[in-house]
Amino acid sequence: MISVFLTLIDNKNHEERLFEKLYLSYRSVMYSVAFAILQDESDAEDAVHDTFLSIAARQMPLLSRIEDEADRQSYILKATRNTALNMLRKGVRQLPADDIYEREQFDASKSPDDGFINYICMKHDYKQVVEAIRRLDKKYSDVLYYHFVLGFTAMEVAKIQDKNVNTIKKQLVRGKKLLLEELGSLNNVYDR
Amino acid sequence: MSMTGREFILALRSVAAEEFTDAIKECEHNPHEFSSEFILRMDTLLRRERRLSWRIINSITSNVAAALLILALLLTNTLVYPSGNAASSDFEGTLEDVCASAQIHDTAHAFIVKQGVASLYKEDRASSFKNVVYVNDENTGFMRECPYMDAEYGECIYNCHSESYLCAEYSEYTGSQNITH
Repeated sequence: MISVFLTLIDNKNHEERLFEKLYLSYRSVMYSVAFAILQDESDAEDAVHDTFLSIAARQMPLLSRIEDEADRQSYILKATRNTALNMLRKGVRQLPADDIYEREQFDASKSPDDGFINYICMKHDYKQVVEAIRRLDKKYSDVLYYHFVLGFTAMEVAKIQDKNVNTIKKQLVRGKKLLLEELGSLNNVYDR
Repeated sequence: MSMTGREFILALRSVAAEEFTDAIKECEHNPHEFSSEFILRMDTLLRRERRLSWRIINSITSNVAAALLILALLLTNTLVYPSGNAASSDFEGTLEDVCASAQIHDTAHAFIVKQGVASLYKEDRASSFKNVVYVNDENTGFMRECPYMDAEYGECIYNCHSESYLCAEYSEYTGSQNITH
């Protein structure tokens, strides 16, 4: 019981220190990301602040699981970019949360993770894959990144992006499908 | 295979990183000076986070943990010093004298040796009755278990206090006793 108690205290202290470290390390580059999208100093600062609010409210346990500093930076900057984009959308027009692709029904069982990675690794080389990922819409490459690199579940990604878990599941399936399309092998995979 | 699964992960990672390369360069070349309003808001948020940490530490979970810790300590205390807690033992009778030999028949009772008087207690240890002998420790004033006594098979009681054998025969379950001198 004592160890549980001490672990709880230790985790909270660790998260508190990490939060301060994130703020001191990334606030400037977060601002740059936000400003590139919003083109307004005040709005960009708001985006940085909102991102930290969101991180403090919901994302610290997830963030504290990321050990690689580069991944942590990518995570933070993606979060900032998404916040800025949401602000831009709200300011310009109220876009529906999901696009036409997300309303389609997909069968996730057709592209299980292991088979998906094995297939890509078998048929394509590193440069091709990098190029295909670059061509993907950000929302799909983001979901693939969160899922495959950071190891987050659809539920956790939904928490980060403040979206419905089913939307994330569909984005994940759609992202895999689009990546295969970009790699020019979609038909081969789904005809099997 | 043209590439490994690890390289696939690396590809995702590198594309994720390169997206923000320009922003990082921009930030290095033209560092932004944040407005005082932003600094103030972030200071408030950081302070709130610190307070939140302490709120969580002092939250219900923590209080429950602390309560259980206290309970565990009390329970330990009860087991070590049973005379201090009436609920842990029932007084059954007093052996008025010491003796040369003794036999304990009742395994559901224990002898308590205190100030020359052997007292019999029924005690529940870990949900099963067991014979235990306690002596009064003059140094601490607390009752403590006599390590030399095997009451289970009715051997002589060793009085830890006076370093002499206190022996008594106890024949009845509820308290009548035969003392053998």
